[in-house]
Amino acid sequence: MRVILLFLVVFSAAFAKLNVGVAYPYIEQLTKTIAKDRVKTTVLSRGDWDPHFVVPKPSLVSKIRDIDVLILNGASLEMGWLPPLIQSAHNTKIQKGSNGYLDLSEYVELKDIPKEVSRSMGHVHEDGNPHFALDPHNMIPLAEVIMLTLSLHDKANYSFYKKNFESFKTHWLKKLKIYDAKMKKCRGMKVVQYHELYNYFLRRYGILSIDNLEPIPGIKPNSKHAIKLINEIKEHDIKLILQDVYHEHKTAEFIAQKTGAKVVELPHDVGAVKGTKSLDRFFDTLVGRVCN
Amino acid sequence: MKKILMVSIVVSTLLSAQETTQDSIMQQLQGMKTKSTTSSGFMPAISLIADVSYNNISFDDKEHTDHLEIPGFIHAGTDAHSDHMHTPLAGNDGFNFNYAELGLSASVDNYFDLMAVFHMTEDDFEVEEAYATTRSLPYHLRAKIGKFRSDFGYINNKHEHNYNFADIPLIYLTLLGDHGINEVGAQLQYVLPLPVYVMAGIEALQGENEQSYGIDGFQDVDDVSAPGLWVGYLKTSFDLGGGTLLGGVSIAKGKTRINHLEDEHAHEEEHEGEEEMEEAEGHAFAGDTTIYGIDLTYKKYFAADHAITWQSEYLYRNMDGTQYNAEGTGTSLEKKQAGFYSELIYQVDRNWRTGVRYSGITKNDVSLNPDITDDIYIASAMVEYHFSEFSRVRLEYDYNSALYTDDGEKNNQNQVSLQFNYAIGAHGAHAF
Repeated sequence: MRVILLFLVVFSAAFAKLNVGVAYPYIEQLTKTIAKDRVKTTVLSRGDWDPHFVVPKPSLVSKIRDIDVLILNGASLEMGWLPPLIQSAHNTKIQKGSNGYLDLSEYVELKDIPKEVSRSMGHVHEDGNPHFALDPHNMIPLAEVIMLTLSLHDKANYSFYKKNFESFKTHWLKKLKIYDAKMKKCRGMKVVQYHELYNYFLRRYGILSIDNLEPIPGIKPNSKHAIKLINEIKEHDIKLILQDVYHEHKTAEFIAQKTGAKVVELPHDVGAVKGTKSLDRFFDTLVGRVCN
Repeated sequence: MKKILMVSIVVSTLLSAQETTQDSIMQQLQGMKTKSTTSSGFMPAISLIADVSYNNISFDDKEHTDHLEIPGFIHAGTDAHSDHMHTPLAGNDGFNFNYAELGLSASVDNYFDLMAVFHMTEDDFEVEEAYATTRSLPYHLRAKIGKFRSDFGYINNKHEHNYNFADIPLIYLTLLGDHGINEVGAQLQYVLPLPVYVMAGIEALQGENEQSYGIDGFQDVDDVSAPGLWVGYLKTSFDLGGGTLLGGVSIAKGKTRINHLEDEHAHEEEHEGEEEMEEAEGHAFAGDTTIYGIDLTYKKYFAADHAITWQSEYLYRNMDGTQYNAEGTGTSLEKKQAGFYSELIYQVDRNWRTGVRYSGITKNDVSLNPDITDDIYIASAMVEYHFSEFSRVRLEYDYNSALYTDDGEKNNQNQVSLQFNYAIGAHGAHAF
């Protein structure tokens, strides 16, 4: 009898837990920092995947069928894969516009908003560059938004979430001081990158992104553009080619060989490269690899 | 009494305190927003797709290329000649404007989303789909009402531009026509509360399909009271061996009224000679038809733009009823027919895709014609180049061994086509 009772208590407690689905690993880390083990977190993608092209597998539908809150990056980053999943999950709590649908991009000052949008410019994001999570200074406001949203659904734990947020804030302010200090010596440095993935990070630290390996967003590099890049790299004396994990590396290596610039592989999300399983390690790696 | 009062005061204070927290959290959240308006506003998402091809068609027997038929399924001179069908019989040599597809979608309010797809050919405008889906039904239910492509099987709900080959597979074409089950009706779907994806759905449809279902009576045969067609299915998916398996079983059960009396008369006049008159004699059919379907798809992604897909479906039709001739004489007719297609698609990278498909009939039992052939198949191969996500060109070769002449002789068709497809407007998500 007692066992059954105990089971029931445990069972109902497990049930009472807020069930949160998140689009990307960095959101998972922020959520866990705030909620610890008091919410169940399900992440829908992996850090080493191209965030634009997550495969909308039906198994993800069952993962979001019963969640109470869905936290996404927004700014059209999930446009190609999340909408059909939401549609298939028949979960009224996470419909766009409801309380359980948190679009983080609504709380961030977006950059690179195009003045004019046309597909002839490639796969441009009309809302602006969605890769704002690459700026470590965005982490505190994002954590606060997540803290408030979780509290909205789980008032009983409001003070717990708030306390965790405050300690994260204290910790992160220290980290920011370290990052800002480290990055100072790289101010004014010039780089090229594959896709406009690191703009928020580069802009934060005054690093100039001269060009991209993609001729236009979403279009593969070609030889004509590679020649242009080689000339640019020589002209501007560019030392670094920033390479993400999910695009081909050949073009970057070819250009490096021709110019003497160094290819550096950078994580774009938690878990993208080895040793970046936490937010701290992720930004440590990013900072360390760009500026050392 | 006092106690109760005390308790209620405490409870209400607690409750109101909670309310304030809720409101203040909400306010804080609102205060942190940077964007107050969204760019899309009230404009629906609009997309337009255009598809054009250049075909080179040749026949083994160049003398008999008119009035070709797929025996037991599609008669010569009827469906093939009606405007609506562009069967493999009807592809034109040279340039073809295949279709333009206009799509519109938006939320109606917080209860419904509306989606419409208009299918246009050079002379025709067709509402292919226009339906509302619910946003907030409880118990993980979702309802759809309007005209829509049924979720029967795997390929049935896909639009033409999502096919991996130019035509719908032979078994769909022969049993359900060019657009598959595309009907006016209502649908209810339920996602089961399981760790694996399992979805059950049921549809009540008007039941007007040129190949298998119909509601309008003829001669002395009564009309069918609508809905004339019921569709049910169960679909599941799980991850297996680094890939994803998708499977489903479907059933479509309905009343059949197919009237080819008129069509054939017109055709009859073109012919001379007794034998052909008999062949082309008008007929009509009334009865019941059930189609069973099994589908299995396996996809393995090595990277977001590097994948392999194996997709197969098997359909079985049981048609039972009476065939009538122009004089109104009825003969009982039973058809048990089946076929399948299986395709293997390899996506090399963001630009290149290639694949093969076999599409054939495995069973063709027609009670009135025991000698009818089941040697009916089409084999296809294709390679696609995608300039971007929004434009592609496809080179396809089809060996069409499904066509027979009036005399029952097979006439194989070889077709090479270069098909261009362009999409503008709203970026549709990639369905799995």
